[in-house]
Order: sequence, then structure tokens, then C-alpha cells
Amino acid sequence: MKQTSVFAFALATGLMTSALAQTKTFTIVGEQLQMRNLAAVESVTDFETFTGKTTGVTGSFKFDATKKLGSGTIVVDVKGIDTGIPLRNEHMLSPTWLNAARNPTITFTSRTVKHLSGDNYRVIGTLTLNGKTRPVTTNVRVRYRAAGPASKEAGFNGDVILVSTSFPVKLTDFGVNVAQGRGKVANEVTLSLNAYAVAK
Amino acid sequence: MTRRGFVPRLVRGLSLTAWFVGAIVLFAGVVVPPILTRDAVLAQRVIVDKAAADLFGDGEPALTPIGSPQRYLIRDNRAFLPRTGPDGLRYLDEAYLQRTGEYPWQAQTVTWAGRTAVQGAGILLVLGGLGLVFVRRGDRATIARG
Repeated sequence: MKQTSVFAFALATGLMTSALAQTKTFTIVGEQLQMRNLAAVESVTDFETFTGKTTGVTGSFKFDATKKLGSGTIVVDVKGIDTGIPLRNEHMLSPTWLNAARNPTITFTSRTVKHLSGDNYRVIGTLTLNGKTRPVTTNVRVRYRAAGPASKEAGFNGDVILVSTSFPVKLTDFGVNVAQGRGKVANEVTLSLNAYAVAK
Repeated sequence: MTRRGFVPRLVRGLSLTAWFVGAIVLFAGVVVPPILTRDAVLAQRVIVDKAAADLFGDGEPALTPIGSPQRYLIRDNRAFLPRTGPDGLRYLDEAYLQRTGEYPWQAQTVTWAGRTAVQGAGILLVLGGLGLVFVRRGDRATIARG
């Protein structure tokens, strides 16, 4: 009985190790390559629909292209967000809005990932914004390319994934006082993330 | 014959001024926005992503959208990419806009300004009308007292 238990444990560990062996760690690449990582937030009001955007996106993912399993974290640099108008950028970073000095990043972290079909996954995770963390559920597209001529041509030195997602966020849920915007900033904004990551 | 005091003359002057300004603002708020926005183009701001085309064989560079399509007031045709999307959607090259420092106005902002102007004109016209009614009542009271 004891030998059977030991054998079963070893088999399970071996299988798990084998499964984990397919999982690679991908790190979001920087601007030096010819691609664009992008985090954008869109506010829609009667006055104007404006979008703040930044290419200051970092983070990493664990991804198994065969089993379609994964997890990851995306970190957005708040100070780099540009809405197109310097005065509006200044207000946005101020203590009464996103308080960038105290909360310099926006972080999206996955908790559970379920493969839907093709490149599409259902992700349940958390979003941390303005120092507050709230649950988020969203669909994420993960396009994968193994290392080879195509990835080299694109300037990547390893397996590559392109992660894309978009979901609504209520600013008041994260302690942002939207009323001070007097109708020029929407409470519900759309946050979009688009990032390339490489496994070396 | 009525006697005119300072206050009635002041109120009459301010009321007529409010009507005059209100009429101009009303005209501007109604007429100007449609003229400014008649050439607005429905366009999507995009970042041209050549890497995705190289990696995934997409055929032509992928376009990463920034926000959603809006009606923009753009004079510089070089800001548009040659290709178009569904239903003739134009694409605005974000890299070009950044290089030229252009922040395109949206038609909805112009329309909002027009609507706000009309509301403001309405307030001016009402206040002006109330002022003139006040002055007229004062004149009648003065006439009645003889």
C-alpha cells in the first residue's frame, strides 16, 4: 500500500513537472523593439470623448501554449499617461484624481484563466488603481508565436505572445471623485491593454 | 410724462444689452456648429503595428485602436492612413498626430459648445425680458401716481 502511494505521488509529480515544463515565463518587452505596448483609458461624455494612453507597460506572464494555461500581471505607469492636453494630464496625476505620486502604477493581475476558443481566454483577476484593488472579469486574447524566422523578423529573440484585453472600470469604485470633473470625465471608462512579451 | 430714475435707466440698459448679446449668442450657437462640423470625418485613431504583421502573418500591419471611432475636425489629410475600414471608416495615424503636435477637435465638442451657447442665450433673453417688464411696471406705477 505504501509503495503504491509513493508510486502514485511520484507519477503525479512527474506529470505535473511535465506539464509545468511546457509553461514558459514571458516578460513584457520594452520600447526598443519595433512594436507598441499600449495601455489606454477612454472617457465618453457629451463634452468630449478623450483617451489617455501610455506605452509604459511592464509585467510578465506564465503561459503554456499547448495546454492553453496561463497567468500574469500587467503594470501600467500612471505618470506616462497622456490625454493629449498637458493641463488635463496635470490634473489627472494630481492628488484629487489618480494621485500618481502615491499610486504610480495601475496593476492588473490574473487569478483564474479559462480557455474559451482559439486565442481567447476568460480571465478573472484584480485591478489595482488609485491604491484600491477590485475584482475584474474580462476576455483576453493571447496570440502566440514560437521562436523562429517570423519572430526574428519582427525583432524578438524567443517565443512571443501578444496579450490584448479591454474592460470597463468605474472610477468611483476606486475612490476617484469624478464629480469634480463637472461632466467632462466619465465615471465608467474603458481600460484597454495591449502588450508583447517574450520568453527567452 | 414719466420721470426716469437712475435705477430704471440702468435696468433698461442692462436688459437691452442682455437681449442684444443673447440674440447674438443664440444666432452663433445655432448657426456656427453645423458649419464647423459639416466636414467632420468619422475616424479611428490607431497605432500602426508592423510587428504583429511580421509575427502572425496578418498580411498588412495591424492597427491598434486608441479609444473608439469619433467624428473629428481634421484639415490635414496626411494624418489619415491610406486604407479604410468597414463602412469607409478612416484611420488617423497617431504617430503623425504626435509628430505634428495636433490634437484634433471632435464634432461633439463643437456641438456641445453650441448647445451651451443656446442655453446661455436663453438665460440672457429671459433675464433681459424680466428686466424690461420690471421697468415697464415701474413706469406704469409712476404714471398712475401722476
